Amino acid sequence: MAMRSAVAVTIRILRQFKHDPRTLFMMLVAPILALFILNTIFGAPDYEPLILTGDVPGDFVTALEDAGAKTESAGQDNAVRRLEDAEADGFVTLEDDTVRVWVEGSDVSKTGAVVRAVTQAQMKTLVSLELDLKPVTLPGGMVIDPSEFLSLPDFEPPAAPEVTYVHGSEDMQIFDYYGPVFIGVFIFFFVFITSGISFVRERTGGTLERLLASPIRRWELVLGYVQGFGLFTLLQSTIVVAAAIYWVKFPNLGSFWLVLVIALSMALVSLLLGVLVSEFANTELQVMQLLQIVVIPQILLSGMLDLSQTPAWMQFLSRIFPVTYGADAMRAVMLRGEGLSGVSADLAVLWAFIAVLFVANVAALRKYRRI
Amino acid sequence: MPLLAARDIVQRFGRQEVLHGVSLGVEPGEILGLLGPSGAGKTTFVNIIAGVAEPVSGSVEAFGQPMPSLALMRRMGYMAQSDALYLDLTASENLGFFGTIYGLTGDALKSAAAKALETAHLRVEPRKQARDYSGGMRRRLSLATAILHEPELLILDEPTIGLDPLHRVDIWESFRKMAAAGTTLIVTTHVMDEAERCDRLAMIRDGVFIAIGSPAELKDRASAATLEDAFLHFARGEGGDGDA
Repeated sequence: MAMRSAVAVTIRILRQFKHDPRTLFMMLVAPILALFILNTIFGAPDYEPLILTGDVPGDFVTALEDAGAKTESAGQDNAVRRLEDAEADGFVTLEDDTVRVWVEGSDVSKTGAVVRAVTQAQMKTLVSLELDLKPVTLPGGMVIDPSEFLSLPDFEPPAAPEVTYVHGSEDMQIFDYYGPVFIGVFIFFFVFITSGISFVRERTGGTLERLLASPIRRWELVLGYVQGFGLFTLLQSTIVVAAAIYWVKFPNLGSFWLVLVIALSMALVSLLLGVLVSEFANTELQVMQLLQIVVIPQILLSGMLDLSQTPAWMQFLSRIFPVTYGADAMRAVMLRGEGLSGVSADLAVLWAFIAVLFVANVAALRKYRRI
Repeated sequence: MPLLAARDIVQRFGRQEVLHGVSLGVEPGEILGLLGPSGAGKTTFVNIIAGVAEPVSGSVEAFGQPMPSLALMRRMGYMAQSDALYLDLTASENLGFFGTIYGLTGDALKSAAAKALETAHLRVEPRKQARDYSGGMRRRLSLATAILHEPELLILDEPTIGLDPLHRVDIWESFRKMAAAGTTLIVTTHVMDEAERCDRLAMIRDGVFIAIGSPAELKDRASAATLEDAFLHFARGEGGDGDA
C-alpha cells in the first residue's frame, strides 16, 4: 500500500510530461542545442588578427602572415584611427630598430593574437637575417667572411618540442576540457527548473494540500517525485550524453555508462534541490530568481573555470557544492578514462547529497502536516 | 459522541491570530454549514480539522481518535477551496491518481469513479485535459475526486463556488443523498440560501463562532426573518453564542 502511493505519484508525473510536449522538448533539446553551439564556437579555427604594418621590411610582413595574421600597410595616423574604430587589431612599425606595436586592446584574446604573431614574426626575421650574412667583397677584391671573425650564436629556428600526452591528444580543442562539465551542468540546470516549477505548481494549485489531506506519507510523496523525475531524467541524461559523445563528438576516454551514472546522480541532486528550494518560492518566477542564487554560483564554482589561484574561502565554497563533485567525476571519466574506482569518492559525495536532500524534503513537508 | 470534535483551536499566521480558540462538535450524518464572510477563518478552520494544517493550540478528534492520523484521513474526504486538480491531466487521470492514493485500483477504481462523477453531476470527455473544462466543471471534478473513496466524513470548502444555479441545486441534492446514506458533511459557504439547506449552522466571523444551531433555531433566537438578518444580529453581539 505504501509503495502504491509513491508509484501513483510517479505515474502521474510521467503522464503530466506526456501531456506537456513543450517541457519535454525543452528538457531534451535545449541542453543539446546549447552544447552544440558551444562546441561550434570553441571548435572554430583560431582568430586571424588584422595587423596594419607601417615602416617594416617586406620579409617581416611575410612572417606576420605566416604567423596567421592578415596584414595591410598603413600610415601611423591612419592606423591609429582605424584602431580607435576597432577596424583593425594591431599596428606594427619599426622605430630605430625597436619594434613598436599598437593594439586595439578591448579584447584580451585578440591582443594576445596580435602580440603572438608579432613575436613569431620577429623570431623568424631574426633567423633569416642571420642566414643573410654572406661574405662581402670589398673594393679592391678583398673578400671578408664575417663569420670567420664573429662567433655568432646559432640562430637555427628551434625545433618543435616533442610532447607526450598522458591524457588527451594533440587533436584536443580548448572546449573539450570544458565539455564534460557542461554536460553535467546543463542537466543540473534544466532539471532544477523543471522540478522546482513543478513543485511550486503543486503548492500554488492546492494539490499539495489536497494530497496531504489524503493518507499519503510525506516520504511517499518525495519518493514519487524522485521516481517520476528520476525516470524522466534517465531518459534525458541518456539522450544528452549520447548526443554529446556521438553527435557533437566530445572525446570520451571512459565508459559511456559511467558518464550516464554521473549525469543521473547530478540530475537527482538537482531534482531534490529544486523541490526543496521551491519551498521558498511562491511563484514560478521566484523559482527562476532562486535559481540565480542557488544554481548559478554552484556552476561558476564547479571547476569549470580554474579556481586553483583563487582565495582559499572560494575553493572551500566550491567543495561544499554538489556540482563540483559531478564536474570532477565527469572530467575524470571523459578526459582521463577513469573507471568506477577512480570516481567512487565523487559519486559517494553526490549520493550523500541525495540522501540528505531527500530527508530534508520529507522534513520540509512537516510545515503542512506533522505526520 | 460527536463524529468530529474541535476544541479551543487557536491559529496564528505570523503575528495575526485568525482563530481565537474555537470549539465545534459535528454529529454523525448531519450536514453542518460553516457560514461567514471571506476572511472570517472558515478555510483556516477546515484545513485544521482536515489535518492539512497544524493549529498553534487546541485539539481535533475524529471518530473518537486524535488527529492528524493517516488511518483517520483515509476515512475523510476533503475538497479544497481551489480546485486542486492537475490541469494537464485528463479528468479520468485525475480521478485515477487520487483514487490510487486512497487505495482504489482496477475495477473498484473504475466503478468508484463512475459513481463519483454521477454524484457530482459531471460528464467527462476521455481525452480532454482538466484545463480545458469550464470553471464549474472543474469544481465538480474536484468534488468527484473528494468523494471517490466514499469517505465517512466529507469536508467541503466552498464546494459550489462558480457553479450555475441549476448545478448548485443538483449538487445539494447529492449532498442530501450522501447524508441520508450516513455520510457526515462539513460545508463552508457564504451564500445564505445554501446555509438554509444545512442541518446545523456555525456562524463564523473574525475568528470566532458567533452562533451555532439549526437555521430555524438561529432565526428564532435572533427574531429574524432571514439568516442574513440573523447573522447581522449575532455579528453585532446581540445575544451571541454564550447562551447557545
